[in-house]
Amino acid sequence: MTLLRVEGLTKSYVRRRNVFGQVIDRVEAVRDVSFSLGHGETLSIVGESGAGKSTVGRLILRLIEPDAGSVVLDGADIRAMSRATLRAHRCDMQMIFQDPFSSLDPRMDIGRSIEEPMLLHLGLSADERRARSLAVLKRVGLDESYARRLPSGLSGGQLQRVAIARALSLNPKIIVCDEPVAALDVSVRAQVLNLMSELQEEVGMSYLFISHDLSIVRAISDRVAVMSKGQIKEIGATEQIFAEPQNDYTIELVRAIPAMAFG
Amino acid sequence: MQSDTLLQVRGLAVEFQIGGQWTRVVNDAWLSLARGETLGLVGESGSGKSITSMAVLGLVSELGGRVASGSVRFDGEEVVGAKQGVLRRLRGQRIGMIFQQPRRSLNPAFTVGDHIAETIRRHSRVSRAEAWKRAVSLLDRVGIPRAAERASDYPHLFSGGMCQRVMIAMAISCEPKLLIADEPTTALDVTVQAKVLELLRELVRESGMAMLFISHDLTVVSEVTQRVAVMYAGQTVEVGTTRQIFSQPLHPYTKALLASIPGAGRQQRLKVIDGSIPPPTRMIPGCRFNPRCDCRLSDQCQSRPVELVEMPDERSVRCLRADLAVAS
Repeated sequence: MTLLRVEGLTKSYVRRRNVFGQVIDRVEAVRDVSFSLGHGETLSIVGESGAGKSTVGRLILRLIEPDAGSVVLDGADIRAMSRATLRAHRCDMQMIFQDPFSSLDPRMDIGRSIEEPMLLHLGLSADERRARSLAVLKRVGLDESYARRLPSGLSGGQLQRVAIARALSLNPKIIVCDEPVAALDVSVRAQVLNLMSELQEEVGMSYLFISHDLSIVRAISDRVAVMSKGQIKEIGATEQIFAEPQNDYTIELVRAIPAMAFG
Repeated sequence: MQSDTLLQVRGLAVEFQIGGQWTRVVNDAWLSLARGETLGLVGESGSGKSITSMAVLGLVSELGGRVASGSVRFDGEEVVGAKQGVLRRLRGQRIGMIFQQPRRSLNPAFTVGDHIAETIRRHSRVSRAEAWKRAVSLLDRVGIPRAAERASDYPHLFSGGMCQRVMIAMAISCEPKLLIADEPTTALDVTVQAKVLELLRELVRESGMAMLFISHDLTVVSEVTQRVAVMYAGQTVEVGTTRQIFSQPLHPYTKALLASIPGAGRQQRLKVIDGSIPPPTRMIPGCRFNPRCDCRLSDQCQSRPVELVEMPDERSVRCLRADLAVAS
């Protein structure tokens, strides 16, 4: 069953204006992108830097406004929503960013950082918020003592767990993960990815996983969309993309994956 | 010292001030590199791999640190405690270096040709015109199309991969005996990475220079190196040929690191290493990997430091239970 349907999504930016302020050069960051995402599914968007993958993630959440196209989540058109309605729907869509250090307020303790979205969206009492924040912290493998600590005292892997806990606290239907493990060390990366899979099995949310790391994408996705120059070049089941890529660009990309020379 | 050994790092310890306290960031690092050989230096962030390479260039004091003990010998000369003049001849001329962020290493106010020509003139007595001519041929050598024209371009007109090629041209301009490449392709896209790695392999093969290739990416290391040294929490924990390290790792950390690389196909769970790397300010006694290790001995592994021991098959490993791994 389809949870999210994206059609004809387009976004361009002004590159240059002439002396009269008229646009003379535009760059199309995202051009006519369409795909769908099912309940409990993981769809990865891969591509090189500048391909437009992160822009797609942000457009879906309406963190930036698209020029054209539609985004329908569970039957509701995100693009047509007023600010107030959009805000009410924000609970359903959460995001995890690449750099966990800059996505948390350095002066706010971890407990409050996790409670903040609940304060905005859920209208719970202080006690309820606190209980829930401790519960999600525990779920991501951090004990209660972390709630009183500041982000500076935590490692990158722990901070990314906090970011996951914060997204989780609102029971979202979909989490957009923009390079969630790119900044983490190899040995910590697997911990965070496993946590994400466990949570998906338990809660059943969908992931839109944005990454340039093809070996990770292959290990965790149900389907893969390959983007280049703002367009989706190829989309399909993960093994199909990796084993029998059709598009020229996908073939080049898959061929460039470093392979273990021994072992 | 054998004459075919180019670089030898023994028992290196480096300290930095953390919160007013001299803290050991690298403790007991060992490396050796033969002429023309490519050695991979592998480890996670904070393992001390970059600091070790800085010590090879004699740059530790410039970074505000100090070498507490150990020695670094390059081409028969001691680097630790060497005079500035000696170090200046070392850097750039006999050892070239490239970094992770090629664009950040280039000055936006100078053309790429100027960068290379200046490096050449710094280390050898040639005219401006001659240095420029060499710069152009180097740019051509590293695969910059229309090199003569592009030498007059500024760095912002070059992509990340092209900037890295320019850095490589600078690094090899004085025909160094050793090239230190610190995560040279980490910031590049996969397709560009493949091309830059191919260029590095080619240059090493043709010029006979040695390469110290620093990376956290094991698959990339397996593709370009002949030998590998693995570092963990400031120590060298295993050294061997690339084949030995990748097909028969002895140290539990090396094994775990290899196991955590996702294989082909959709997986239910990836293998993980529980816990995290201890920070240098709270270094644990005994084996530094023991809290995360599956096969630790509760008394021996936790009580006293473990030495790097040479095995019969010419590799070294820092583990009391390495014999177990050999037997299995």
